[in-house]
Amino acid sequence: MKKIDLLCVIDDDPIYTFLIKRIIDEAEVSLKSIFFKNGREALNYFTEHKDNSEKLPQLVLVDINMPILDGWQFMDGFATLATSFRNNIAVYISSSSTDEDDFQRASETPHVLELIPKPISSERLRELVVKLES
Amino acid sequence: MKPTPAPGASIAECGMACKTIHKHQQQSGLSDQVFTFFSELFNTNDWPPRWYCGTWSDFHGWLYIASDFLTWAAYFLIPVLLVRMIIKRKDFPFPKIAWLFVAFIVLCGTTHFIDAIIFWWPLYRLSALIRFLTAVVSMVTVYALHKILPSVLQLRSVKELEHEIRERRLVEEKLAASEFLLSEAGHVGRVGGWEFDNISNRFEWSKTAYEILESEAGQIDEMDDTVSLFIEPHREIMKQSLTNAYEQGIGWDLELQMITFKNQKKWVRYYGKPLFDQNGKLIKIRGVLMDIDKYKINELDLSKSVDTMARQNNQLKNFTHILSHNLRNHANNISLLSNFMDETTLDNNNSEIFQKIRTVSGGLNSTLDDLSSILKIRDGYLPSENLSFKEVTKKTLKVLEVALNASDATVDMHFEFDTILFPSVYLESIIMNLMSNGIKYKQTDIPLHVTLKTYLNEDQTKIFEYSDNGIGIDLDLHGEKIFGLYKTFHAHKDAHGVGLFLIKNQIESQGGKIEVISKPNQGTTFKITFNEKN
Repeated sequence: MKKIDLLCVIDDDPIYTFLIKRIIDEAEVSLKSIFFKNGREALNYFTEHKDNSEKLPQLVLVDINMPILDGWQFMDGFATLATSFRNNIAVYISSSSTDEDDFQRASETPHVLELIPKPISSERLRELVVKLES
Repeated sequence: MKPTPAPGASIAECGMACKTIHKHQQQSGLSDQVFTFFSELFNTNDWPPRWYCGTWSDFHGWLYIASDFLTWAAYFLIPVLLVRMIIKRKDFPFPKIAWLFVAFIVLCGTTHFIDAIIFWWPLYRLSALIRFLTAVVSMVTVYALHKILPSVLQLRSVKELEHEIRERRLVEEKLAASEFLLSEAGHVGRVGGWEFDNISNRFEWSKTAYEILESEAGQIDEMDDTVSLFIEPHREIMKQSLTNAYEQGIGWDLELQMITFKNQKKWVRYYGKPLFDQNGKLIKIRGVLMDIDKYKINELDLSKSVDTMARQNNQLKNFTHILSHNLRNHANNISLLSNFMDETTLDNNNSEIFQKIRTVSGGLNSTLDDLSSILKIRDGYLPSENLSFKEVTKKTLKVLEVALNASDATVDMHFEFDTILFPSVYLESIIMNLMSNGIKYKQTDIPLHVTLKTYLNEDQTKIFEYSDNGIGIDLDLHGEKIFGLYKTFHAHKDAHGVGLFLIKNQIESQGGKIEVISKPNQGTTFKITFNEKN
């Protein structure tokens, strides 16, 4: 399996961030990972590097409930930037929500591929990366 | 008696014996004749009395005379009676004709009278005059009679009138009955009627309307008075409605709150409809006033509590979602963290504690799973599909195959109907939960026997029935609690207390119901009544 260069996780929960780091290491899917604590931080980064595809991730896991800008608000901002991106960026919502409305909303949000319930397993993460290659 | 002529008297004679040349043969001018006729009206000298004119036997003469007198008498009495009738009965039909009849009969009588007295006094001129008058009156009567004949023919006979009276009486009785019903219905239903005459500016209110207004006649004179009965903002609405009625001919039907004449606030339904004549002039406004206070207040209370409940329900829903979401975050983290723990570095004591933490974490996660699946039933909408009991049951039994074999179970199926419109996930869950409950709560010493039945009850409603020979439930002790969440009634290791709660919610979300019949050691029967929509 080919590793991706950069994986991005947007989540405000430090424990989950700690855990997802371990999972990413265990899954061995990415050379490098970046972490943001909320949608605002992430969006700032994406805006800054929108023309620099080397600095942009290939895979994004974004939580829904976050302070400042939540997952949905991040997606709104992401959508306006998307035209500038030269490479494809796969975005997954990753949430512990079991609310049908959230699943529905995820399926209707542009650029979101799927809502993946937390916690994401290393196997699932590998699958996502494999899917990227195809 | 035939008079004997006085000796020497000269009387004219006539008859077969009369050879005298009479005066009437003398021709003179017409005016002379007329003059002589009237001036000599009562002169009898030109003729002999009738007794001497021709040859009369006593019998013949007296028969003539007596008959004439009697006829005369009768012809005078008939008019007397007629006149009495006309005067007494003011509604006597065609009184003018009757007066003509009176004149005509009197004159006829008079001719008979003169005819009789001519036997003594030969008043032939007078006789001619009376006869002429009789002829004139008779002809006038003929003409008048001819004129009124069509109206007379149109007059209804007494029989017809009686019939009509009977009919009318029946109609009146019916009218009285329906009026009674109407006024009773109005009274009981608190519906009153009103009418405003725009020309005479007068209001009419029914008795019930007065009761509703708690007023008496005369307290509302003007159409504008009704507007001031209502309280704001209804007064303004009513004002506008009245303007619309006058200017555009639009009626109104409104639920308004008013102040009665006894200062009570009251909800009424006030209906009005303007009436116009051919020239488009507003002549009347009619309407209905209905006391809806009791119902309106109930309705308002109800809608208020429905609003409150909907709001609270929504808050609760949000709360449970947030709660389950946040709890799940923590629970996930704990279970993940424990996965990354290197147990080999723990001493025995810590390892034991750590195992317990793992169990707790597992329990926490499964509780959250249960909760979220219940929440999904509560607010989710699943589409119904046409399902086959046979197929769904087969599928479920396949999943449970190992467990069923282990319990030596036999499953009988008697499906009187096979298809049901129901969400497939729910039907699978229902059969799965009931079957796995059956396996869990079988009697240890005998093999499990389950019967699955479908049939139509007396209301043609579809029923699904599950029954087993398991250990049963003491319903006297537990009753309807068995469908409650986390209620377990057996000291069984797998007793969860979620399954029955879950399927009850699934069934009720589709408008159905589930009942249980059970006794300890005598098995359990669950009866599910479906409510197929559409």
